[in-house]
Amino acid sequence: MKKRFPLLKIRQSGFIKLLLLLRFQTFTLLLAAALSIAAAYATLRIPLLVGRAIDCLVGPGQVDFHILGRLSLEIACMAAFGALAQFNMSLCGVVASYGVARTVRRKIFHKIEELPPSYFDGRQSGEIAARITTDAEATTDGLILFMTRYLTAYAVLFFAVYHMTSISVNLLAIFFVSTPFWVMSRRVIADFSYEYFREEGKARGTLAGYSEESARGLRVSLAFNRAEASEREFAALDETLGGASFKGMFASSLANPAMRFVNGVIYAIVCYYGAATIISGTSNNLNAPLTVGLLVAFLAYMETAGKPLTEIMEIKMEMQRATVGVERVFEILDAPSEKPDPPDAVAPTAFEGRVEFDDVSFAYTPERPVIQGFNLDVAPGSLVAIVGPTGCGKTTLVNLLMRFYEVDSGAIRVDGLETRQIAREALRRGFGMVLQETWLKSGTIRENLAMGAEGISDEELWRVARACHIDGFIRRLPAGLDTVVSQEGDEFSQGERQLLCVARVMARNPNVLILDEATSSIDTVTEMKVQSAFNALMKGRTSFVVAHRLSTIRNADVILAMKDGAIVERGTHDELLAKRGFYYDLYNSQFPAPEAGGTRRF
Amino acid sequence: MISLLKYLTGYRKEAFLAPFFKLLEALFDLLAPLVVAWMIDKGIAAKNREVAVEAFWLLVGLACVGFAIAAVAQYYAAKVAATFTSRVRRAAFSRVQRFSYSQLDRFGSDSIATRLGYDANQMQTGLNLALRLALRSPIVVFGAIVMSFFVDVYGALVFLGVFLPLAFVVFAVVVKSIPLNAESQRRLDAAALAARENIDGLRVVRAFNMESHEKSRFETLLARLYETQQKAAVVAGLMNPATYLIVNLGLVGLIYTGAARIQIGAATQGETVALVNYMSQILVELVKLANLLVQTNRAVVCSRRLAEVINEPEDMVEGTLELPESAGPDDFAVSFQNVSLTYPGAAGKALDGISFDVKVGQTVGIVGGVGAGKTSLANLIPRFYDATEGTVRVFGRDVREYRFASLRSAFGIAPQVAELFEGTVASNLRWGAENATDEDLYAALEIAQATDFVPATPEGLAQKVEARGRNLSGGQRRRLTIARALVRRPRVLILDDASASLDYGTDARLRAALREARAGTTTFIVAQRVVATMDADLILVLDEGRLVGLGNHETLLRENDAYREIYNTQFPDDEKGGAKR
Repeated sequence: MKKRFPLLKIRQSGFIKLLLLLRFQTFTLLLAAALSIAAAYATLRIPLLVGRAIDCLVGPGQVDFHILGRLSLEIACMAAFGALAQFNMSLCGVVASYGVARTVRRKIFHKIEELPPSYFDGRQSGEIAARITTDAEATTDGLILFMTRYLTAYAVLFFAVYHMTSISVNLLAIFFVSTPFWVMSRRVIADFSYEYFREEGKARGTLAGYSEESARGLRVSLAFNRAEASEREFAALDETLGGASFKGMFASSLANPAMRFVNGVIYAIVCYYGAATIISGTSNNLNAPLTVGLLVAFLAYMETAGKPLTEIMEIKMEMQRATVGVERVFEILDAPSEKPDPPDAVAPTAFEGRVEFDDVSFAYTPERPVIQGFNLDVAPGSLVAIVGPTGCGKTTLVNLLMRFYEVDSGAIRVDGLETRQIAREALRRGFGMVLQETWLKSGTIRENLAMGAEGISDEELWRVARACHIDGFIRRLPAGLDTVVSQEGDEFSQGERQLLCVARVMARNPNVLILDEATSSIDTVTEMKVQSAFNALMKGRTSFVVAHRLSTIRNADVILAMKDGAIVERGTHDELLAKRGFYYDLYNSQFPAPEAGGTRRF
Repeated sequence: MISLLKYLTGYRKEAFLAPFFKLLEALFDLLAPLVVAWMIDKGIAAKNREVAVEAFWLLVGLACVGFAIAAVAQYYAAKVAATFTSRVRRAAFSRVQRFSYSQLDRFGSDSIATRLGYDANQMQTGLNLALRLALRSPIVVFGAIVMSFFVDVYGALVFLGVFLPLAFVVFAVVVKSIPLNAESQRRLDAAALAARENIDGLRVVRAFNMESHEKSRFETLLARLYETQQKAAVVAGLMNPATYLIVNLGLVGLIYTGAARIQIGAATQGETVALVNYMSQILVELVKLANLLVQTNRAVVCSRRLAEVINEPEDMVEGTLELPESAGPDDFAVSFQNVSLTYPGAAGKALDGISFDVKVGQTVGIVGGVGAGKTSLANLIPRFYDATEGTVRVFGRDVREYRFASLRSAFGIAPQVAELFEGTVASNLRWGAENATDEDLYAALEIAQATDFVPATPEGLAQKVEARGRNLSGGQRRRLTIARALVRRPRVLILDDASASLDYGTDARLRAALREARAGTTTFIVAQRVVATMDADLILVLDEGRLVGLGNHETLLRENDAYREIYNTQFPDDEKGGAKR
């Protein structure tokens, strides 16, 4: 049963919350609702007036121009009033609906910036972005539909039936008897086309998946002469989709003609019955005798009354979409944000760089602990390297240091202050981070480099670019620093993107440096150069280097070799090699072994 | 867009029948008010029941015929829309299959997928709608005006007086709305992109304390969106009230003219009623037409985007020659003569004056830093791009003289990005060689060092590969793409950065196996690691698009500064270059 009353469901879930969210717009929405009723009243009065006017046109010499004039004036006034009410209603609707959309979108975006990063684990960014576009739209559409179109539809239906009753109860009875046929014809066609639509949707999905994959692999396809084979496969999928589309379109496009047909028959019946009543001069006791004008008015009302019936059905379907939208909007809005900084949080402007891990444990999911009882004391200015196979928890340390995730137990201290006591912004300002993923924001190269260092001068940027060896690259770009980086950006290679990320951090001049596989896609010559820039940058700063390529970390003060969330070895490069343990094996797997004919002289 | 019309060939009849039946349907619609007028004047006024009965059957008949005709029209409309779209979609797909790399660069894979999917669907919906409605509405509108002249000339003049401002309002609104709606959509997309970007770069945004900056940037985007949406809605909101007002004032006019004409006996009550009915029909149809224009506008834009793909001219002229069947060991497999390459729209040259010769069966290493032009050079050999200057020769002839398929059939390529496709290991390996036997596949897996995760058994070959090879690690994907290249038994093998995600042990075994298996195969190895190309017959050292070193490992190490620099960064302890082959 519940499914049939989507409104009730909305009211139970997000609807009230939504209205509370939109205090100002609620008033505008109510105004729009009131105007829609006024507009319906005016609009629906006109056919009756026209009918009465027609009754004045009896025959030569019998026209009553006096009444006709009065009626005409009233029609014009009603038309003007109705038009005005309609226009104001749509203005209110616009202000409210787009205002609602704006508020909802803003709230979602703010939420995105405030949610803990763990919220986004395993979620597609496109799917969340869809809440800002599709779901926010569905939500507002739902509200507008409800406050204006839904009410208008009912108001129109109400006024139409009211006027029809006043004209002739008998004719109204005929109309009501025939409505079920009308609803049924629609139902049948809807059910019928639904099946085809489902088939079509499936075929469309398959084809979309195929085109997407094939578009991405076009270069390979070209290299392997695959064109004909792909075309054959595509044609087969296309055949299915074409067939399903045809059936779906044909079935659903029968809906309008079928309705017109049923309407036509009802129209004929009412016409005949009306004419017969007028001719015989009979009348029921409830209404005034039927006239030609009234019959014409009745026929007009019948058509107006039909429209809201269709509309109400359509709106109900739309409302279901809106319900889903509201739920999805609130799903993200109700998710708990990052815990705010405590009121007594300190915000140091700079850090000396002592970092302690004190019995730290952490797990992304309770079943799988990643780090357990982790202890480490890093003196200011030292270089800590973290190595180990994929999935051993290297990146987790970075996540904890930056407070993207909070430790489950234990504490991390910077300069003796527990990180939970430091305002996130201050903590993150002091830490510079280069990640393996080379994310750049869409905008110019300048905007990207100056991301964390507002107001930095161009000279300064070029100095940083030179230090990172990307000045030549930037100069070769069509617009230099003003070249636009796009999100999908195939225009830069991984290496170039990564160098930009490195420069971005350098421009920021942080106290503590975190390099998470920062040079993994740069060639070794450039890496050496960047490394020298890093070395300059790291001088006197505490640095954490997560490395896959072990060649880069030999001069670290301490190397932590991690395996399965625990530190299995710690020491300097030479100490660890001498141990001939885990690190020794790791190192050898990365450097040319004797049988490959490489060097063995470390 | 007009260029797409050729895809209606063979369906011209249907494309004509759909609107023709619509026209018939509209004509029948126009008859109904006349029947009613006749019933009023000859039936009610004359108190003639017979006429009322006849009118009833006439009206029912009109409804039946109208339905039958409409069903036929809808059938043809759906048929034409589906068939046409299908043909266009296939044409676009085959055109894309023959795009050059620079065309692929320009269009981008996302945009291609959107065009084949979303755009084609929109076009289909729009076409179907247009076939059904585009003719009906104008016919009803003009028909109603023409009919009104038959009924009563004076009343018809009122019609003209109403029609002109009405049409003006409707089309002014449509013309104003279309660009505003398009702009709203663009601005909404910009907002969505900003949101996605913030999620993808979440950790960076937080690390750089960019949250409030991003919030205010988003606020600006929202404000811009709100502004156009509001404008668009106000314009659209004008339509209903304005048309409504005009029509009702017209009604008053009609009634007055009617009254005057009836008063002198020049018209009847029924005729006036017919005119009133026509007036409301005009309003309904004009509004429908306006909505249709807005909806089909999107379809037009989408069909243009498809036409763009289909009509994209060939930017590389295909040759006519077949690749020579055999080549002696002293022939050159590949030679470059003063080759330069500038990508379209790029400021500088990606490759600059490159010349070298490679004999059949030789192994060539290509080394250099990020952006040195290694992949660009490799892409010129199978003619994925055309050199902007100079000549690239394969087996003695300019690559531009060969047929594409013939030229490319000689190559086995493991590209830099290890792209796999949904299916099985076998379906992926057979990509370039549909007739390869299972034994061929086993052999390729062995050489590619892939047997540790794909056993050389029927079960191994039947292993599922998810879209983009998601269920495999980078190194595994890499090895499968190498195996895929080997299955073709290529005459020229190109491994672009093949060892990037392999550890040194696997990489060494892979190269040893290749050396053994590829006797007679000319091989290009693009690599960042010197060790991967140390035993090559010829090493090309690239720096910012220029060839700065050419020779084997020993010579280069002795004589070439650029090569020595790369070498030293990878073997820092080996100052004297003592690594042995």
